Amino acid sequence: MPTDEEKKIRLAKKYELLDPDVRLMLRVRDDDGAAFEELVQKYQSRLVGILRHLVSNTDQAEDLAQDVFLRIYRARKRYVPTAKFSTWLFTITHNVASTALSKRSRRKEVNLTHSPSGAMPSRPLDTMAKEKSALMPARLVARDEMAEMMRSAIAQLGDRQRMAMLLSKFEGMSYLEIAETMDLSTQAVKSLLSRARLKLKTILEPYVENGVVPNVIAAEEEG
Amino acid sequence: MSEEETQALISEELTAYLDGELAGAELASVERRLQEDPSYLAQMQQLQCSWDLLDVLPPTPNYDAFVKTTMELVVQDSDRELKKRLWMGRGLLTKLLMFLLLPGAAFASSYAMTNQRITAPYRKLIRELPLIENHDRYAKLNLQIDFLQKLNEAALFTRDVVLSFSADSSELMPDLDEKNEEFLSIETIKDRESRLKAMQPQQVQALKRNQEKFDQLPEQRKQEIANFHLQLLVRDNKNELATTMAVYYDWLKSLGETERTEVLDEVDIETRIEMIAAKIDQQNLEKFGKAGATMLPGGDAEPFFKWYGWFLKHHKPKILKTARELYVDVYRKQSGGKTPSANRIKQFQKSSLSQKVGFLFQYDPNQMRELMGESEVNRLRKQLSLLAIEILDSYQSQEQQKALIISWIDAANQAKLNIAPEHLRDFYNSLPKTRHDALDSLSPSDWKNALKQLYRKKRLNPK
Repeated sequence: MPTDEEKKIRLAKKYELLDPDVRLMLRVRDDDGAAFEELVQKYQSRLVGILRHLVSNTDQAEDLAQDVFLRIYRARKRYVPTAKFSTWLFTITHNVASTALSKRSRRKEVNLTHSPSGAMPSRPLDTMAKEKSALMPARLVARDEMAEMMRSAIAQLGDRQRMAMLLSKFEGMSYLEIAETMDLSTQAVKSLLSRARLKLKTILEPYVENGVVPNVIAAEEEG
Repeated sequence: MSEEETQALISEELTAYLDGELAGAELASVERRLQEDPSYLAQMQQLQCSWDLLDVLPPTPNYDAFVKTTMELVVQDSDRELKKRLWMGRGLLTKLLMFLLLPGAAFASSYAMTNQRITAPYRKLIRELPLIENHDRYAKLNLQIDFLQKLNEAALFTRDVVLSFSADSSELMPDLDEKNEEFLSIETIKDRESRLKAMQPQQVQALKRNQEKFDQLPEQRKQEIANFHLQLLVRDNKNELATTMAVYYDWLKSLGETERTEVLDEVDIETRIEMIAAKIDQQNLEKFGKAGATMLPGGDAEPFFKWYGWFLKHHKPKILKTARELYVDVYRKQSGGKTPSANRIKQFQKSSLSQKVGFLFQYDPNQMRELMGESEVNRLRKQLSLLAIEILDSYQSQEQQKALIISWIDAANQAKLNIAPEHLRDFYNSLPKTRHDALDSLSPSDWKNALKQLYRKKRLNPK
């Protein structure tokens, strides 16, 4: 019967073999700066992208992403692989973002939506469809507007729903991995993702059904 | 079970199905119902449709600047970590001294990322600030860290000794590397922001010009410059290297266009350093004749330098000891009886031998005279031309002859030293208006040479 320590070593070996990023992180543990730079290079856009959706502010997202990398670097000497590197990275990201969001919430700062006017104008789907399908410059504009609509929709999800959704959709994480990252049960993840999908469906219904860009309501706190 | 609860359960089931999290009996059950129940299928399609719309979001682009600043933060953090460890390992008295002597004692305060937020317009400028400020210096090193290291080891460049002692100032012996500390210290983003805000209009203009030049560089070149900057930052002797780099950069300006290109284009590092050494020797010889009234024939400059090199080597231990004792004495006198801290003494000891000799000359030239015995005078006599020996012999007593040799040594020392720009500027400011008028009518290069000459003469004959 293997002891806990032996199990830990086996697990570490397994992740070292399976995950190239774990191997990079082990080099970082041995003070290899180039390996760390490679990890920063590899994950920067994914990390900043997720954080931007979480805090709805690019500058803050970049600062927080640097904070995440700094924490990883500081923890390098204690690093033992017990999961995929990305799981560990996004666990730290989740913690950093949660702290930032709770600070913001304590300051009672309302997270305003992206439209400067507070609401996006409604536009008929046929206009959008025309722009989308035709080979014309406006297509790019329409796509930008759709992206803006989606960002606004995401901003209306609760913090945890948003995090779970981002990890599932953009990081392709399984429920188990999301559960590890967010320190939840798989059942809780299942429930969070289900509510996130339902909420998105409700918000985007005017667009899906009638081609009308939904009005954006001020984002609500955790749902 | 309420309608709402039922809906929630259905949604969970369909979400898990869409996310590929179902298997076995659960999966079979959902698939069967999807075939049999059109409303169930419609719900699934609606859930998936809004999910698919997320694909419209563009990916976040990669920014080189992000990687650069993150790496800088990490290096900075390592630096602090190291200092903190050193701090933890020290005794109470040393801690107190460290705290007093290191006004920046940043490592003693907590590191807060949130304090480093800045607004968008300056973001790029702040991120690239050290690169914008230094890219030209780095380029003059051909972006070769090995070259800089070897240039430093060759000890070809020395700064003028710091002479400004003021009893009122807490900085009785300013850091010789102070100027270079500015661009090689690893700053936080907030530090950079403050530095930018504190800049004078002409500094901002200079920075803008540098930024324009930097912005025109190809991305690959920018990356190479950033890599060089990082390599420099992680060196233990980075401040020493920065001093060498700054003096080398100033020295290159003293060369003509052809000579400068010749140095910069030399591919082999060793050959380039030899070339630099030869040019410096030549310049020293030229400067020697101009450095005060040496009365030494031009052709004797080279043998004199050889003798002087031997003299320094031969008396090195004595010079080091005497200079150290004199430094403590001067410090005490200037500060009303205070003893310099171990750190200050250490800093003084780090200065070069030539700088220490300069210090001795400034505060007690007799100490050098006492080092010179009859054998030293005779050794020199053997190397000089007949004309030079005649000049020497025109002085009757040995003490007078020694005084003449001392003035030659001082001239040689002055010729070897590069004058720090800030000292030259202070010296210029201290000159009377008539001198200003005479100097200001010269061309910029003649102006600088004439000012240096005047500075050296003044140093040789202060009265």
